[in-house]
Amino acid sequence: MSAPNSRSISDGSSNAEDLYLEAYAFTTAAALVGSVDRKIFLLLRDGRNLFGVLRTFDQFANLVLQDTTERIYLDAEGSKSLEKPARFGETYRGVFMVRGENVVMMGAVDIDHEDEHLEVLQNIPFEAAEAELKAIQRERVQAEKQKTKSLLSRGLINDFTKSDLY
Amino acid sequence: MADVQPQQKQEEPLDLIRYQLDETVLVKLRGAREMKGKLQGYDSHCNMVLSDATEYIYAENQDKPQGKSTDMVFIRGDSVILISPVAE
Amino acid sequence: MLFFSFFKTLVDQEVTVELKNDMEIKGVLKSVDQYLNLKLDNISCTNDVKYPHLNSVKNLFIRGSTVRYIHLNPNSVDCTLLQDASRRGPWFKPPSKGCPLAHTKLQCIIDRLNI
Repeated sequence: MSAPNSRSISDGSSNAEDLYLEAYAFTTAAALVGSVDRKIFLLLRDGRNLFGVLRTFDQFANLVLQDTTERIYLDAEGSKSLEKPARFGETYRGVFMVRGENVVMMGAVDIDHEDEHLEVLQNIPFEAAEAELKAIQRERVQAEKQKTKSLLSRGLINDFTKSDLY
Repeated sequence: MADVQPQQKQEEPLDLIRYQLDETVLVKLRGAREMKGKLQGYDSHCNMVLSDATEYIYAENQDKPQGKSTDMVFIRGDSVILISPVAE
Repeated sequence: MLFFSFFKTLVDQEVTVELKNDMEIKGVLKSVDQYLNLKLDNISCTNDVKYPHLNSVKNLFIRGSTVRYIHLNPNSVDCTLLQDASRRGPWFKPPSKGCPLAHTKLQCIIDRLNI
């Protein structure tokens, strides 16, 4: 329902049902309902990329995903050795129930084009990708700790917590 | 009418910001940032909208912040540390 | 609730959302809810090196809590209306007593003023 429509409804009458319908257009549920039973991409706060079929959700954006795949992307710069190209690793995870607070973003995937970006990436085993990512994240946490300290000495607050690695 | 009276008596911190509407303010933010701009709106979460704003980003090894200008920006309140008036 | 109403008036406008991880996503605002979660269409990402798969994602739900800024088109914002609504601040708190619809009605009035 578009905004102009909801306005004309409120002009016409003001019974409880209309007010409910008017409110429904702008709820979390209305934003997510179009993605149900579609393949979606989900980014979690810990930096995980999940791809799966959205089966259900609620008003907090708690989600249930089926046939989920987790994928790790490693860019060429991140690996320090410039001989390594950009790579990815993936593994099957199955069913996921995700608590809403851990969601950063999600969107329906265009299944005709979903693999295009993988063609320029080198597929590596998931375990190797995971190990490399963990190392990068450890380094990042150390660097951010240092940054927090040095910024704090100048009265500035760094916005970083260990659980936010997206 | 009953709702209006307590509003006049009760002064709360955010009432001070009301006088800054349409004036230039400096907002200090988490993430070593500041934003200077004309205050167009705010709410009780310190969500706000600034116009003709300049963002100042402080880097670890530089004294001077990097400036970045934007015509109209909404700032989410959970990043806000303080709001202060600026003499133009 | 003020900014919830505010963003409802910006539906179908192009916005640029800056997340707390410095990522910037440009897109057409399609929906907003009470937590200021956003739904964008036709998205494009400024630093797509880190998230290459976003090229195959065309509409995006962004959780409000991960947003740092939302850059807006100044022409689509009615500054006078926004300032007035902010001055009337306490009106926008959900009413704890009295008519439960008063808040909704005021919202409708403000929506209408903005046409």
